[in-house]
Amino acid sequence: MSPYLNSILTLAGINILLAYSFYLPRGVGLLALGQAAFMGIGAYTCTILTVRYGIGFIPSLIAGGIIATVVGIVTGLAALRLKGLYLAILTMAFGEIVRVIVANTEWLGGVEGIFAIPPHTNLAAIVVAIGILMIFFQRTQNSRPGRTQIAIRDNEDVAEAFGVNIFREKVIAYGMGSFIAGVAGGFYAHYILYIEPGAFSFERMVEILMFCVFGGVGVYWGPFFGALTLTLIPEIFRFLSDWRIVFYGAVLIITMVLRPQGVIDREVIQKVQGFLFKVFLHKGRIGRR
Amino acid sequence: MIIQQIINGIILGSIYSLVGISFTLLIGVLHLLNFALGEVMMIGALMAWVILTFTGLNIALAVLIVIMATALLGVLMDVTAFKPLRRKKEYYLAPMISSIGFSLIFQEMANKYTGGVPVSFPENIVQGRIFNIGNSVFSSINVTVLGIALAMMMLLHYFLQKTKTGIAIRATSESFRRSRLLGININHIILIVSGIASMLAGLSGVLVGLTYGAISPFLGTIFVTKGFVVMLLGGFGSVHGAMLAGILLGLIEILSTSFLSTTYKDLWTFVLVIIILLFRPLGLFGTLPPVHRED
Repeated sequence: MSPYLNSILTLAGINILLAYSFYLPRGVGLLALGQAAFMGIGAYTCTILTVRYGIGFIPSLIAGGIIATVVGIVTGLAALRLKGLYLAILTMAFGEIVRVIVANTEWLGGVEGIFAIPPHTNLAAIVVAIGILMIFFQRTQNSRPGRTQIAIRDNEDVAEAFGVNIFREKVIAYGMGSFIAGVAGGFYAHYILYIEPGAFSFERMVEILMFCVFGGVGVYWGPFFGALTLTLIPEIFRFLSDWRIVFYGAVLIITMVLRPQGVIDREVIQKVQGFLFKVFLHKGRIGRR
Repeated sequence: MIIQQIINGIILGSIYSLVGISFTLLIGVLHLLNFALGEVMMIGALMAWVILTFTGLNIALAVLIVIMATALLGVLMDVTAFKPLRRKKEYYLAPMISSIGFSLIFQEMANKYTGGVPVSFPENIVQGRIFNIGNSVFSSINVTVLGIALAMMMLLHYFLQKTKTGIAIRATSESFRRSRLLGININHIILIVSGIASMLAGLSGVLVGLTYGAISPFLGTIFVTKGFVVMLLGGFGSVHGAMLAGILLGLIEILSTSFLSTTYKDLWTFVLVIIILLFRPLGLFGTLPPVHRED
C-alpha cells in the first residue's frame, strides 16, 4: 500500500472512531456536542504520558481513554438531566471551556501546544480498534442492552415505564462515547505529531457531527460510511482543488434534501444484506429472474 | 473609566442582541438552528465593506442595501434547503447539517474573495468624529452603531407586538397547526421570518465591521457561539429575552476582561452558560421548551 493511501486511510479511521464517539450517546437520544473536548483530553493525556514519561503507546492510549471517561462520567452526572438542544449547547459550552483552560495552561503547552510527538499510530491498530467496536455493535444490536438503548431512543417515558434505568443507561453510553473519543484523540496526536487546543475546538465537533448525520445515525454502518466518504471526497476531488470546500458544502446540502435520515439507513442495510445473500448463496441467479 | 467600559459593553451587547434575536426567531418559529447565520453576518459586513470602499455611498445607504440583500439570501436558503425538510419532522438534525453546508460555502467564497486576510474599512469612515464626555472617549461611529441597533430592536418590538403580521408570527411560533386553522398563511410567515432573521444577522455584521474597523472571513464562527449564548440566556424563542441577554453578555464580557483576568475572557461566557443550563434551563425569560413541542 502506498504511503499516501496509508495515511489517508489512517485519517479516515480516526474519523470513524470519532464518529462512533458521537453515535454511541446518540443511540440513547443524547445530542452530545462535547466529543471534540474528550478527544482533546485523550490526546493530551496520551501525549504527555508518551512524550514526558516515556510510557508505551498502547497503555498511554488506554489511559487517555480512561481519563476522558472519568471526566465524561463526572460531567455527565450533572449534565445528563438535560435533553435535546439544551444538552447540545451545554456539552458545546463544556467543550469550549476545556479548550480555553488548556490554551491557558503552561504545563500543557498553552496555545502553542505540544510538538515533536513520536509517530506511533499505524493503520493496523486503528483497524483493530474499529473492528472491536463493530463486533461490539453487532453483538449488542439484538441483545438486551442494545434493545434497551433503542427503547430509550424511541420513547424515554415508555422505556422508563418498562423498568429501564434511563439515567444509568445514558451515563454509560456517554461514558463509552467519551472513552472512544479519548482513544481517537490519542491516535490523532500520534498521527499528526503536533497538538494544539485549536485542533479540538467546535469546528472539529461540527466535522464529527457531519460524519454522523451524513452517513446516518440509525445503524452502526452509517457513521462508518459517513466518516469514510467525507474523508475521501476531498482527496478524490483534488482536481477541483480550489473549490473543494464549496463542493463539500454543496454535497452536504444536497444529501440532506434527498436523504435527511443519512445515506445509510435500515432499508439500505437490508438491501445490501439481501444482495450479498443472493450473490454468495445462490450464485448465478441474479439477472436470470 | 467604569462608565466608558459600561458604554462599550452596551455597544458590543446591542450587536450581540441582534445576533441573538436572529437565532432565537429561527428557533422559536421554525425550530431551526441555523449555523449559517454567522456567515450571513460576515457576508453583510463584507458587502458593506465593498460598498463603502469602492462606491463611496454613505453608511445609511450601505446598511439599506445590505439589509435587503441578506434578507433575500435568508429566503433563498430557506427555499432551497430547509423547506424540503420541513415536512419530515423526525429529522431535526438534517436542517442543521444543511446550514453547516451553507456556512462552509459562504466562508470559503469570502475567504477566496478577501484572500483569507482581514480587510479594513476606509479610515475616514470608521474613525468618525471623536468627542469626550467627562473622562470617557467616544467616536460618532459608536453612537451610530448603538443608534442603529437600538432603533432596529424597537422596530422589531413594534412589528412583533402590534402589526398583524407580527401577531401572526407569534401565533405560528406557538403552533403551526393551530395557526393554519386560524387562516394564517404559514408559508408566508416562514419566508418573512427567514428574511428577518437573516437581515438582522447581516445588519449586525455591518455594525461589527464599523465598530472594529476590520472584518475577517472567519468572523461568523465567533459570533455563532455568542448568538447561541444570547439565545440560551434569554430563553429559546424569546425576542425580548434575547435583547436583554445580549446587552447583559456584552457588559459581562467587557467588565470581566477589565476587572478579571483577560486570559480567560471566553471562559466566563461559557461558565455562565453552564450555570444557566443547570439552574434555569429556560433562560431568563423563556417559557417554552424548544423541542418535543406539539405539532
